[in-house]
Amino acid sequence: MTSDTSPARARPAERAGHEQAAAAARLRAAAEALSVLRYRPAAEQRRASRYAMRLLSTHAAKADWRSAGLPPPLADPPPDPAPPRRPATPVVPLTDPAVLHLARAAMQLHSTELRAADRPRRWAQLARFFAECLTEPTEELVRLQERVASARVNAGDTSPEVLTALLATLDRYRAADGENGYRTGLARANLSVAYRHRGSGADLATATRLAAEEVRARTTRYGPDHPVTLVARSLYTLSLLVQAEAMTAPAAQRALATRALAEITHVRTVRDRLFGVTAPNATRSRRHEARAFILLGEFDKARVCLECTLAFESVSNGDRESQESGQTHYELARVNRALGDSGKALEHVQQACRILAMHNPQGIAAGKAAALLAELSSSS
Amino acid sequence: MSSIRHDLDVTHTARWYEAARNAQRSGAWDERVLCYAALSEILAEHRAQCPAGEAHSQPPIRRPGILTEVAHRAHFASAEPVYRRWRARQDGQPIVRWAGEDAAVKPSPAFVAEAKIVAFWPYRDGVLQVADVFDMTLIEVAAAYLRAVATWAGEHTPLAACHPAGPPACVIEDMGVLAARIPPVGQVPPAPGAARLAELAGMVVGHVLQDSSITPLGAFNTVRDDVLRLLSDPADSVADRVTRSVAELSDQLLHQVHDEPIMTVGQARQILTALDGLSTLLSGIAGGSAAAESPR
Repeated sequence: MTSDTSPARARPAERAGHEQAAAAARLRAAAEALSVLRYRPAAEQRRASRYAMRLLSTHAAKADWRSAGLPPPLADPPPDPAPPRRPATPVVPLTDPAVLHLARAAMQLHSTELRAADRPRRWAQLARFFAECLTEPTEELVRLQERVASARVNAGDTSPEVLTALLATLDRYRAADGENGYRTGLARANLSVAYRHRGSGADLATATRLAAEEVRARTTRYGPDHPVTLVARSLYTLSLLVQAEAMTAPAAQRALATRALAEITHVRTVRDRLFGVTAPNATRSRRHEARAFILLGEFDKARVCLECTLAFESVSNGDRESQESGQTHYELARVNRALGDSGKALEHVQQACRILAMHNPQGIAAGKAAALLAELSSSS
Repeated sequence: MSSIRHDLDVTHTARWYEAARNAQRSGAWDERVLCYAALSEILAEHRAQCPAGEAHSQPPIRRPGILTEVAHRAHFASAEPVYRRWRARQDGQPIVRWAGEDAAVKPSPAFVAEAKIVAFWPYRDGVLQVADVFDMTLIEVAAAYLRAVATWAGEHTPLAACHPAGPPACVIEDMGVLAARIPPVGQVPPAPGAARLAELAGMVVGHVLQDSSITPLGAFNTVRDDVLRLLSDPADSVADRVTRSVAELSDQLLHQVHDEPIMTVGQARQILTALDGLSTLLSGIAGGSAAAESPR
């Protein structure tokens, strides 16, 4: 029956659909808001991760989140997200992208308290969990699988399987979004990192080429100092540094290091301004700057730079000893050795070995630190 | 920052939304929801028919006579009852239109503005809930809010592109609430801050419409610098200022070009003496467990 004012269609289904979409949107936005907290100290990130789990446990369909590698939810009861006099919010199905987004945010926050070596397993667990929930691969799942591959690279795994997965992701995004699509850029950057970590044959040159392509694409699209462009510029300089470190010809090495220093100093200055001098990405750039000074033989400058890095890392990390601070200790050991202070060098390399072994005992960085420790111990 | 939440709960739009969804009027609300859903369907079909641009960019969408289409799609017997809901003269409508009684606002734009607000509202809710629980700073609230705006635009792209393309109108109001908390610098009023923040929200949506593959973080990053500049507290702690100054001074010294004067010998000695004294004082604090209580 139609009237002049009311539509004929049944309303409960429309209303239920609207309410469910609204519940999913709330979870989706909560995931974004919680991700903002990743610049807070570790303890607060842990709380944020568990709060995300509480939202999932309360508003998403029932699931064994432990099997997805996620932490337990916060113990205390959740506040009612709905204003008074409103019916209870519907349950969001696990197949809704909002659930995966929130679970991903929870894992991102949770992973800061995990050792780098343990992260790939947890990310893989999460990806498997959703692969089983979803009947076909969604865009969100593809991005999650890309995240698994990146975590593996960061833990030192550059096996053909990982490289193939990253290449396939890049091809997929190239086809879907074009050469300059945002996701294409992220995938290209991830592949560049993987080549740099593997570092065999033409890998370093390929890593630098991919990073340079990404810098060009992002500069055109967003401008040179956009945070997204800065990530690409930072990757590019790191590729240059690693290439320079692998060189034996001093003149070529110097030329590359000089280029890297100019670039990374600019990146670091902008990051200091945008994120603050103690932000993890700014301190990372500062450490790279020190590596350029080391290559140029300016060890006093490198030492000052690294001591600042260490101080800022401790502000950002609190009691937690991050893998990155292990790398800073390693660089300080190299600098002190070059400056002839073997006592300090030994002190720093011991710290580096302890921290890096704690995070990723099989990683390249831990191996380098162990080699330096052996060298310094035998000469003292 | 719970007072931000309180202020955002009592904006004109927040009060309108709460009243519109009031249980006693749920029948009227359901009919509105039906109209919004019909609009989304029409726009989605329009999008499917038009080829996407590079990186799936979404050009602005203009559909003259959209309310007639909506009435037809939602199976109203005629278009008139739909127009009546969004006319300036409300004539006893159970839910007043969001745009108020301004006759200059025609029914179609009034309807589209409302549809955008209603689609965005749960995203806003989700952000404010987290902001409240974690006592977010002003900058964190702005970042979370703008990321939610980007998420909304990514998930409701045709609606975001619907003329006038851009964020929901309530964003301007909400940005006004945030801008009112910008630490005062001299006698500068908050109004320019509100307008600038709203403009940045528009840029965020613009980036999403330009490249549908951009993430909410990526879209927010396009305006991060401006947001920080607008909302940073100029009167931050002396410890923060010293940290920044020390970093700046070491940078200048590290990258000093020959003959470029940075300081006199006297100044260098003076700083050195001050730093020696300060080191002694700081070691008393840093020796304990202070590192664990690092400020945000």
